[in-house]
Amino acid sequence: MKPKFIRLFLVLAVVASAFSVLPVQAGGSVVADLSLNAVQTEMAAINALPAGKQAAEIQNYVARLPISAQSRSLQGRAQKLAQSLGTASPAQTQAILQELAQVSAQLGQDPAIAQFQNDLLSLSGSTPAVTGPAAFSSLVKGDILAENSGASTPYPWTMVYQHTGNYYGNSQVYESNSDGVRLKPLSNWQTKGVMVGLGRDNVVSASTMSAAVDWAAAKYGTNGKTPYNYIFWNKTTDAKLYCSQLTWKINQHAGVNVDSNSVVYETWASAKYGAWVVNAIIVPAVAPDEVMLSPNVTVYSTGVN
Amino acid sequence: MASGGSAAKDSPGYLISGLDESGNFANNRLLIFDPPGFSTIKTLPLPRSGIQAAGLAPDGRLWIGLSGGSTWDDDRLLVLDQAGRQLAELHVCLYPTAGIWFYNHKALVVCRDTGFTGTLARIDTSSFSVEKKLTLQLTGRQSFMAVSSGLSGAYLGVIGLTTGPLQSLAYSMLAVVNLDTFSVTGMVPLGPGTNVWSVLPYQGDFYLLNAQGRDSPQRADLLVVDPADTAVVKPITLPTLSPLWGAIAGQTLYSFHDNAWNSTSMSPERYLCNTDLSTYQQACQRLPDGFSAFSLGLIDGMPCLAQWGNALPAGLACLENGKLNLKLEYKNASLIVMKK
Repeated sequence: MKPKFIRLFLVLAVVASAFSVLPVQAGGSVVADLSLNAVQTEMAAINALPAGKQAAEIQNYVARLPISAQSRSLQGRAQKLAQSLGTASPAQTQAILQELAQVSAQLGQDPAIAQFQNDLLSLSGSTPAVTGPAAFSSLVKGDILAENSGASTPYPWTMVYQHTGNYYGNSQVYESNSDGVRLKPLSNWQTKGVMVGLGRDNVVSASTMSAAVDWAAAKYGTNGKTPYNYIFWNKTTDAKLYCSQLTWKINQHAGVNVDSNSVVYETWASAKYGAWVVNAIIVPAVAPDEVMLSPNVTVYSTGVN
Repeated sequence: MASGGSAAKDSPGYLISGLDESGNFANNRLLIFDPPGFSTIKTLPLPRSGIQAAGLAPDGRLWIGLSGGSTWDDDRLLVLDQAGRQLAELHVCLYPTAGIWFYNHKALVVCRDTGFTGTLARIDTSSFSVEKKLTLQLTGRQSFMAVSSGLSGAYLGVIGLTTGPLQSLAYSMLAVVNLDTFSVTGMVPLGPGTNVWSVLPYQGDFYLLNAQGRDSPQRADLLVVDPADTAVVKPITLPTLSPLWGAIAGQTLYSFHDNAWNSTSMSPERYLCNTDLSTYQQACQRLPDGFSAFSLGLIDGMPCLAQWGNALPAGLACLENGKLNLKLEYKNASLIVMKK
């Protein structure tokens, strides 16, 4: 190669390198660095902000992610679908949730979203470090069970956990599923391949939590009378309950709020679905992940059956 | 739940895979096989849902209850002909998972329902019409979570898990239903430390396999109840703990032992045993730690386990000349169904 071509090549390489370090979006903001260290630094900065300023900073952050235009468009579709849940008939609700699941799967294939989410998962510490089942032998009445079976779920905004229930004692779990509030065998949580996390309220005593589960059984029924709540952002209602809403109600009755509005989870959900999701869903709802990331819950065991 | 039994030589056997929720039940299959040679006749897809109960009617039709996933419900009850073609899809009660039996041309389907109460439905096997339903329940808010059942003569025994005085210990109840009057004639408390998932008929009695006998104040691995006189529960201690699935042929009980099933126990020990029911002498073979079987059936006198394969390749494994051999490799095998 002749010297002048070598010089030109070096200049081009330096320019390209500069752009790869500090690429700029159309609006002039710097594209977010997706390396784990950079994400950790950004998350630490957001966590250090006063609570009232975190949502805006999360919004700025996810706006800088190098997500494709197609994914941004899909995020808009997800928002419209979520909004339509508020007025949907039962049949429409199922169709909406199915489409939301498809949109979610497509968004998960965006390389930037996928890498960013992996980084956040690492930082959340929510994934099990070891194989083998969770320590079911430690369960006491009132403990929180959370799971991810990999199967479809009524709750679309899942980072790690799809579903929660509360241990009822005697190998039974009190939980709300698409068929409403019911009692199910512990063996359902012990099937092959399912990831399970076990948590315990770390604020009140075991006897208080045991009484809170009994309170819930009395209030929400033992006859399947309380149906599933697809209006996820209406967590205060007692007329209908989704899984983590029931868990939240039980702990709330014991005087403990387990809806953490975790910054990691809010950032994760915003990156995937768009910034709209924080105020529309995450803050007013209570997700299984928010419960398991609550400082009031000690996750004492995780595992894969 | 598990519908094992002893194979009739001229009838096909059925092996179902229906517990792979982590795979979204995408590989649910029905394998029809020829019992003497363990040769596959055909495999057919089954709907995506948990499958925990099935029963073979005297007319050769296969009834299958679908149980949904851990976050969604199912109430479908499928009726297939001998070739595996679907004849009917019924919606009788939620979670038809606790047993399907046949008595006087009626199908008896036990549903888990709310978990606090269960349902027994009686269905005409010709017209598929639901004739009667019976709610299985205890008083107050005490749960009766129907998990298993068995037929002995004119009586159906249904096991319900409930909440005993010690929440750390499993507690089972036995509801005895007289099928001629279609009424509950006994509700028998089995005591703390009882986790019963197999109800076997033997000499007119119910033989209840207790997987949690290790924990009970007075260890009882086998409980015997006369359905016509439920006042007495006879506890029997076996040399090896925790029988879970079983079948009886002659006077021999064949049993798979697993203390961790539906339990807070984490014990990895598994055994396959045969017990002389006149002497309770027992011979057992230790299986690989963590061996996961969901049902036991007898084929040509051999005890066979449907197992989903975290210790051996998945499939139908039979004890043959003192050695456990994989007779049919089959991913996520969970239920064996044989003509009795």
